[in-house]
Amino acid sequence: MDFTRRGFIKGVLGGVLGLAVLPALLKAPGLYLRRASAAPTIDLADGGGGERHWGFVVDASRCIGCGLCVQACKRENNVVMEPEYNRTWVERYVYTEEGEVFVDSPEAGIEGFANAPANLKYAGLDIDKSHFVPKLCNQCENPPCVQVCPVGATYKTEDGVVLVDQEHCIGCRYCIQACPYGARYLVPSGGVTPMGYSKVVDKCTWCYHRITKGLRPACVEVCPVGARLFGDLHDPESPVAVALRDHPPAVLKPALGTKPRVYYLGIDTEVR
Amino acid sequence: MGYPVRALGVLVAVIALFLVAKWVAGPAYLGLFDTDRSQNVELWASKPLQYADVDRECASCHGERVETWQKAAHQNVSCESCHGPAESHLSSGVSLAIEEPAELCIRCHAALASRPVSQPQVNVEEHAGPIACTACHNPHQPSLAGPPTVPHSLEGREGWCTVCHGATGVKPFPEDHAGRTSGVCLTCHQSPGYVSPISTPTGPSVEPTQPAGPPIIPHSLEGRSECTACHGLTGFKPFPADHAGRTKEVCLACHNQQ
Repeated sequence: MDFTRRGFIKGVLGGVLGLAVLPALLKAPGLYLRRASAAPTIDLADGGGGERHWGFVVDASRCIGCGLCVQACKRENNVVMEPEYNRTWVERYVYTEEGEVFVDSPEAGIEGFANAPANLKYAGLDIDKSHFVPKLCNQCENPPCVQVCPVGATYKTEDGVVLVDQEHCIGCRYCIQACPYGARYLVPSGGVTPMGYSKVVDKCTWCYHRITKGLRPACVEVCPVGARLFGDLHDPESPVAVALRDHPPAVLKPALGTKPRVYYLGIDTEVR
Repeated sequence: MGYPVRALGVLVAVIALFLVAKWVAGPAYLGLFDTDRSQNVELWASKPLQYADVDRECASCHGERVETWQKAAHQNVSCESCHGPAESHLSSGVSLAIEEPAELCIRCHAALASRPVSQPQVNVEEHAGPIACTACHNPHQPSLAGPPTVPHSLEGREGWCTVCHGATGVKPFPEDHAGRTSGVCLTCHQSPGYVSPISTPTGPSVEPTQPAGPPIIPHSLEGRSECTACHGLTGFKPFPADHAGRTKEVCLACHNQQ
């Protein structure tokens, strides 16, 4: 007799509302706590299930903008030589006295910056400071590119490297859109990936064929100033572990929760 | 009772028909999209190298260069940073000679506002002008503290360097100096306190055959052809230590008689 229409509707609405709000309430404190902390701590041990846990350190304070890394990457990985297609590149950050930030990367930095044309955007402005920032795939712990691939062609290996199965890639470019770091590109019809495909997506593999043989990625090997370091984070003596021991690293766009595994030293928050 | 069973039967039949049709006439990509990527991991791992990452191995053929490089300011710059990918060199001997050395120097050492101040940088125009970097700097040992200073007096000897220090001289210059003429020596090899009387150090156009000579011989040579008897390392007026191994035949090439 208590089962009235009013009672039924109340019950259903209340239940639905409760179910919707409850998880948010449970999650909320953690959510706010994480946002409030100024410097999100990075758990370096939080890695793939593999034996090794590769890590990459970019010390931007050492980079001299010679571009040898970009050149070596293209040679090692058969990347199309046109400056639009890159697995890695070098950016120049210029800060003016007024607080403006200009970023450019002429030819992706492959010829270095010594003969690069001046950036007219900040011509005549007072420069406060300027530095270079090498960029590459962050091999995220939570890679958005892997999540969006409709055919499961891009995946994360056990040792934490995000690869593309180019036999399965259909070239739809969802992953290019999803990557917050611009680390992916579509191989143009003239070019061929190391796998022999064109019109598929290619990206930095941390030179997977080299690191699995105990060698350093090509860009790390040719860097003349040690601005790029690579190694196993589980090994306390590896160059990356040593570099991160004394310096709190930053990652790019930490708020996105992608958990990048390229750790940056010597960069400002403007660097994204 | 008969209806649900019949419906189930139709469903099973349709699925079976589909599987058979797929197996017989389905396109090749059907079923290709499995989630196992382990084979692809192997494939990526097996790609061939271009950069060999074998700096230490270079020494087995290029020992002297590697030794110089290891002691000098460029010791942290890998061989392949400048010479390029060495795998083809190791497997089939493709030359790794550098065609445009200056371009490489400028990449790292041209003055740029964005570079860390700790990086050695020069304004290329002011610093060198048209002179090639390698005229003064040995890339394996770039510091100018490198080349030895001239330990002897240059009085009357300027412009005659290669008589003694040419490839066939008594104290030859290193192999990689081949082709250099006396006019350029003092550009790198400094002689403290010496002021050149020659305004333009171009050197003689024809290389001389007679040396201007280090210390002349202050005594007669009558019956004294065995120079090393007195001036050998164990003699009572021994020649300088760097003359070790020289025999009496070559003394007169540089040391004139009174």
